[in-house]
Amino acid sequence: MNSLILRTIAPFLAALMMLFSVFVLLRGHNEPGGGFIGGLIAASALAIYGIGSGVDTVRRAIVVHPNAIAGAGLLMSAVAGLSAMFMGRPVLTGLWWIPVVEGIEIPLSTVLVFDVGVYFVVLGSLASIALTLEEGD
Amino acid sequence: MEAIFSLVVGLFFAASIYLMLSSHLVRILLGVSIFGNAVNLMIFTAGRLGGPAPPVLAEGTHHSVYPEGAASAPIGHTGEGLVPGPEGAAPAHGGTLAGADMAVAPGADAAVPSVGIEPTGAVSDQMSSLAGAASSASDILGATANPLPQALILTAIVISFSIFAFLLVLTFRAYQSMDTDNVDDMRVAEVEPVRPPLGY
Amino acid sequence: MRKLLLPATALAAAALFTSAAAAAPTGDLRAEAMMPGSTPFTPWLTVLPILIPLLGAALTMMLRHKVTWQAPIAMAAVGLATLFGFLLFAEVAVNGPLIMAAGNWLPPFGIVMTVDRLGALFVVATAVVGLAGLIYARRDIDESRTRFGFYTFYCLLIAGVCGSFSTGDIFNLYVWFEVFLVSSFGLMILGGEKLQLDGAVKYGVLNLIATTIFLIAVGLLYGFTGTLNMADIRAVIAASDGAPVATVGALFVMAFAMKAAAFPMHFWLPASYHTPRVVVGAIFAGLLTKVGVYALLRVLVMLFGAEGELFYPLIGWLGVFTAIMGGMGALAQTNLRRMAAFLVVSGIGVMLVGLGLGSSAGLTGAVVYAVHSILAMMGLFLAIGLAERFGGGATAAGADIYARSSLVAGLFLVFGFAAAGLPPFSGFWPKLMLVQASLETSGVLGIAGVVAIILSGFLTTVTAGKAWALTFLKPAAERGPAPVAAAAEAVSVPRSGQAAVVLLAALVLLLGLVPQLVIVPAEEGVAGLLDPSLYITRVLEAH
Repeated sequence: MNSLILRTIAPFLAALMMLFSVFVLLRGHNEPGGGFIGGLIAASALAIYGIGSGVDTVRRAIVVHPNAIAGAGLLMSAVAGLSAMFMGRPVLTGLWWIPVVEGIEIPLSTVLVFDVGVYFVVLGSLASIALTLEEGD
Repeated sequence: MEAIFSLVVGLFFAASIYLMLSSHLVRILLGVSIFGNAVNLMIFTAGRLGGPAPPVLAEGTHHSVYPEGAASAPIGHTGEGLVPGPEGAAPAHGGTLAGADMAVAPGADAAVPSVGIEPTGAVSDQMSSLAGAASSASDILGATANPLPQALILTAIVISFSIFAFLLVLTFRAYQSMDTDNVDDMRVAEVEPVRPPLGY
Repeated sequence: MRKLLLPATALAAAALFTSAAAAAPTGDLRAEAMMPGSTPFTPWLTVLPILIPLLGAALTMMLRHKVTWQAPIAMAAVGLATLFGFLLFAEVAVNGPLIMAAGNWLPPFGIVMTVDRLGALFVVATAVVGLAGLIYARRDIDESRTRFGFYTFYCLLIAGVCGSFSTGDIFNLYVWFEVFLVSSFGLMILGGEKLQLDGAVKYGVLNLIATTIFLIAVGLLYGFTGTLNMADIRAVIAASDGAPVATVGALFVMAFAMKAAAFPMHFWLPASYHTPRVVVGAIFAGLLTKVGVYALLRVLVMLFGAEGELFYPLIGWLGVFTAIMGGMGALAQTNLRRMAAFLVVSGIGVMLVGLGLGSSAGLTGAVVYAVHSILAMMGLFLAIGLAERFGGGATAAGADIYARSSLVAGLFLVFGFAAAGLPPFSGFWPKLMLVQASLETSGVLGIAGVVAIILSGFLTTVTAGKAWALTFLKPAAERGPAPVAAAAEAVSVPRSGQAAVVLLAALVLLLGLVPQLVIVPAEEGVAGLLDPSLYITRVLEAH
């Protein structure tokens, strides 16, 4: 697309959307949000960047192929579900680890790993579709 | 309300089946799309149209949802002291409780077996019958929505969305390569029959 | 545009995985805290045959550029799944239904993976033919198809089918149906030829409609039982009188009959199964229709119990027509793969007759026949794939295969006769059981069942014999002056392909000689379906 405004604004918009997607991903456990919607936002960021600056730029920027991202996400989620086996818990049970850093509790869990995996799956597969559509016809 | 929704669902089904009976792929796809929406609406109606409030409770209130000795609760291991308090076990999340909304989901739907085959309609009724004497449960829950159909619909939407995307691309490719979207003309895989050999 | 197909499918698959997990509420620390004892390893056997192929799919998708790694990863994943499948089978055979509550959400609230003897039997059969298919695929799937994600889709398909056999939740069953449906789309259009697109359109639309009808039925069932857990549904339906199961049951029958390619809805199968790569067609023929039959057994017999008997005559008559029509259709075909596709349909008819009889013997026969059909149909397609390397795709053209490779010709005959139900192959015993069960059934359906089974067996024998005589035995007259040169050019039959088919042939022979290997678990599985009290107790008292 040959629009000066979009071309100028796209990188900033994409960066902002990426940031927001991570925010949405991380707040998801207790409030509306999560991996799925975060992944959607991130994929839209890449799509906008692709429209503004060209598909090749996006492909260079994300380094690996979107399908590989999706695969990695699927792996993360599956491993998060499987990890309960080593703790003697049923599949997909959340395991928590809450370190205290300077008086602040940081709740980390396999639930989070699972959600991040979902984020990557959605990001990877949707970005793959969007970029292919933008680059063809 | 359920009656109106049922009529709408019926209308959706009628429209989608009409479209799917067409021999043009694009119409069939539109029909499939409406079909999926009809099903989603139907599941929503099947889960009873409860109140508008989300089934998320304020912190601390979930003690009374499953009082001691309730018949069945989602997170119980021994059947005693079913839901631990947030101060004991939960990490200090701020705001609403993550578990609380989940806890209601199965609870609301689990009430029916203990009640009998006839659904009791409002979720609050189901809840209170589950908890027996615990009238506080229905007070807290009030007219909340049944979250399970929403979870099911979300799943179904994601699935039908992705499959629809696939079929759309497939249709486009098929149109490009066969130059028709009329399924009657798609005879590549099923050629006109050839007479089998009549002798060895 | 062709590149779009993989991402679209990948998204669908990914979305499915997410939704499968989203439907399973992730357990929380509070739930954690309530579990003083730890779960032993044994219940994990219920999910490992699903999770390991899923991991294989993730790895192959991630390492998509390492073309040479793909096959070993998939082989390792399906191999491990087979191993755990056998362990699961042994465990369930000894100790009865095994359950695992996903995310520690105890039944009937969360999703429960429940494997009883029937499920375990089918999981083992799935894993074994999955492995055989992978062995065959090593030389059948070229580099470009590997890049398009053959192994990813294949692993997802195995995971989806195993998931369908292992789940104890009716909505989760729908999700697994979609998982293998989406991966089958991916496999179907691999390569993107015109022929495949045509087949995929018919396959895709019809199967999507079938699964959507299944979803309607699930939604209505939830509407009046208020639960999705299979054990709980059975308990609710059994406790009620006059539950409106007739409507829901009719929808279930329609959906699963469509998936299984039963008579009035069978036309999509011969229109599509011959179009993809032969190994893909083989795994479809082996597994996908049988999932429909399994789901029919699970829902009508176990969930509905006595209420489901309303549908038995309907299914029985569907089976009678399917068996005869399938056999007649096969006889008329000139393309070997299409012929095999009609034989799949005919076999489905035989199973449905058993289901329609409704007696314990009939159901057992249907289950044994399903296991036999998984092995034999897979083998038949693969044997045809080997024959095609000699140029023998159509019955009309003689390819003189017997003279060039008696092994390939012999393998085809083994599977043809197995499908026909001739001894000493595996098809003989279930057909015998079904004929006996039909004879014990009074009424017209019993007689029709006997006629259908024997007639379909006869038609299959004639079909296989005809194909063998015309394609394998008949010298290639029109090939020209130099049969020696023709022989030299077609020698490239890969050893791995032959090994896979020989393995399947050996299994078919083994099950023909020692039928107790399947009959005993099938009898126990059917007993569990007819009286699921142990299943229900295990699930609902899983505290």
